Amino acid sequence: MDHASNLFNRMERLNKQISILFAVFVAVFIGLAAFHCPIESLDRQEYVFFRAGQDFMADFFNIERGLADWDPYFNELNGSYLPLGYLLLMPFNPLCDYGHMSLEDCWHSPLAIFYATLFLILSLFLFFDSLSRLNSKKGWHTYNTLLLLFTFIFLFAIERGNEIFLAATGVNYFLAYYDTDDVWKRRFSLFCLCFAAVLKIYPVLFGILLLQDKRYKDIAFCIVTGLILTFVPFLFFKHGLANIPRLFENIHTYTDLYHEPTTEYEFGIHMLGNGITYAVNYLHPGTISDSVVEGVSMTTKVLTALLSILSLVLVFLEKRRWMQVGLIALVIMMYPSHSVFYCGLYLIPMMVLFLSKEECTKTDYSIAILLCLIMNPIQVIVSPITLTAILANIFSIILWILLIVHSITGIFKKQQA
Amino acid sequence: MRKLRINITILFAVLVGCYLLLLVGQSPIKALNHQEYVLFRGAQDFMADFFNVQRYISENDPYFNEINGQCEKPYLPLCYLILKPFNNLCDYANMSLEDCWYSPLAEISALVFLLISLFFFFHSLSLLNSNNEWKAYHILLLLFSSVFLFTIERGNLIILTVACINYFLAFYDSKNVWKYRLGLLCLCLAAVMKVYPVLFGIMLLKDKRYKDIAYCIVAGLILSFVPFLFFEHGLANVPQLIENIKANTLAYSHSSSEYKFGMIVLGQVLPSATLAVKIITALLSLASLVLAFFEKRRWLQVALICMVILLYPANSAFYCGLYLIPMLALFFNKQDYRGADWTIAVLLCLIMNPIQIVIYTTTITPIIANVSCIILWIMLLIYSIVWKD
Repeated sequence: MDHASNLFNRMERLNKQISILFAVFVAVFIGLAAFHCPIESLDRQEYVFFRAGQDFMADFFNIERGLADWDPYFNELNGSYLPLGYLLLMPFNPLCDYGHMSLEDCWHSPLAIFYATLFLILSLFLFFDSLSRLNSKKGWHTYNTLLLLFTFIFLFAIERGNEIFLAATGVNYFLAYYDTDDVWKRRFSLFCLCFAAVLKIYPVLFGILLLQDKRYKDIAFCIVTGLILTFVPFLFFKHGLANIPRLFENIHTYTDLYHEPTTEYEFGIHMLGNGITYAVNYLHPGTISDSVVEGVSMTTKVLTALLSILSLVLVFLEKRRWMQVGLIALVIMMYPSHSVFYCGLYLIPMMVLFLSKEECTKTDYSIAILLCLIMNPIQVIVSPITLTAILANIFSIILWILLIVHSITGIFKKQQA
Repeated sequence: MRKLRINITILFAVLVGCYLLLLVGQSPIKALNHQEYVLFRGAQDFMADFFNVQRYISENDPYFNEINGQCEKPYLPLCYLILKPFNNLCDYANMSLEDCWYSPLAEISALVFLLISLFFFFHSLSLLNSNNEWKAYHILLLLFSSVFLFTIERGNLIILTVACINYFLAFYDSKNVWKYRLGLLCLCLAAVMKVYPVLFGIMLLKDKRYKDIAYCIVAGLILSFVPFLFFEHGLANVPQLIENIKANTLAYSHSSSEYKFGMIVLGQVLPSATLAVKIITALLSLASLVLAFFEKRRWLQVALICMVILLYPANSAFYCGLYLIPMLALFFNKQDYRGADWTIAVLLCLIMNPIQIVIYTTTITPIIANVSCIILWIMLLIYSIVWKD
């Protein structure tokens, strides 16, 4: 009993220490953002936003522009999301004449900005509500939420106006009500998982938890709900179900366009490999041939696929919920060839569960520090690239490997015991 | 009381539902086709309270800055200091209000400030929600109230001010010394930001907490005067601030806008009655404060003070309706029930109703909200005098 309470106290202490460490990061960031810094590379904290805000709320406005004639798949923006993603933003569409507006026009319209802000506030409201419900053991304190507002990932995500907050909210509700005895809440949680999966596809991986627990009825419920949420919204748009082949074409075009990382604000081993070859070529032109570049790209892709499969197998064998969620979140962040920085939001439920767990091991310190480094908002600019984003990616990869090792060791120890 | 809570929630949900339908669709009734008027002038003055302050403080000299005239700088320096950290991101000194709208970085700054304010606001509200009767869906509905939509579009410090009042009320009876002191500090912050919240000090006076009053006076003085030192001219700004306040009172006491609270706003319809209306407002305010002093029911005490803060000032913009939120939280958390509670709840719904009825270029919804507010004030006075515990 004493040993258990000792471990719990250690976790409480870790929670506080890590919060203090991150509070220092945030304070330095605010200080650097508010005042001019003599060190040039630290004087551009606005890079915490994508391209320093020069693409403001583009994910919201571009969808609105694409929706203007109820025809998102056949216009110049070539919609590549499932129709639910468009349907959710449809209510905001009649409020401005998006059909005749460029992205710049949207920025110049106070009403358009206001409705984007309103959408963001509603998304955040749901996100924080879901987070508070996930926090059943109260390991996540109010000051953690305040600090969360200043993390790199969060600041980056709020500037995009992306539906990622709604997808992350769906995941949070799913996890919060996963084990509830209340049938309605459980059904709601399954619905939220389907909702998140239809919005952003990859959250479907959280379904492994259902598979592990042999909840086949719930899986059937999810499949039916998922199919309804996927196909019924097509009927609200011009061309109805005839949009489906066009959607495939658009996805194909989109994949061609984004199969290689385009900015430093992306996660993935693939991204890191490409970044290294690009940097070497930039500094010493001609030292790396095209075949080497292709080789690195292929190797990193294969490595990512292998680590992803290993992670998902471990999720299946794992019993610790926080570890399961962490492994799935990292696969969602690392596996896609185009995983924008806001995908880091999937780490938040893992953070809540991690800080709420009762036992503390030495590895937990490393995990906590890595999480701090991933979320660190202080921008170090090496013109014209922010090094912070690249470092966050590297720390995410290290975290991923650490979780895999930690999970294997845990499972192995348990089997021996 | 539970039945009242449920019914009033449904009523307000219907109002919000209608508002959203009218916002998204076209109505055959022309007067209902301009729901964007829930925002000040249909958002044609977007985030002005945030951007203008950024422009005024851009050269670290807000009281002598001449943009928009000196009547626009009547605040104590703490207000400018709070917004100072956002000033570094753009060259506000050479930007007009329109330039701010066109600058993504300026827009993001305003957005981040708004989100931080909302975080504190909702956190303080959750602490005030002692009996847990204020649920997540109430907050969701609150987001669509006229007062709230109007406020978030302004970028005003009022959200932080009301958050401070919430903290003060939430920690008022706390046995934890630190929380209690934090509550008092929050009252001082609110009073320094918007002056009128100082009236909540009546609660301390009533409870004979003289030590706390002394603490508040000292903290208030520090928060009022020390921030002057962060700006050019230092304490020499004080006489200029007084001049600015005079100019502001002169400029705004006679300005007419439908987005205001107060009997005086209604009185402007009959200019000859202005003086009488002012006297009535002063008398009702005095009566409210006296009653607040003797009132034992916390929600009613807070409500009476809130109504004075809302209706006494000559220039009480529509966002001041946010002062009603602490009262709303306490009212919905109370356990005892009286028939008159129904009237109060319906009046609160009418004040918060977001559906805009626009005749020519004027929306009459804020006018209805103002009238409802005045009726609520009188109702609360009667409640306090007639229905004792």
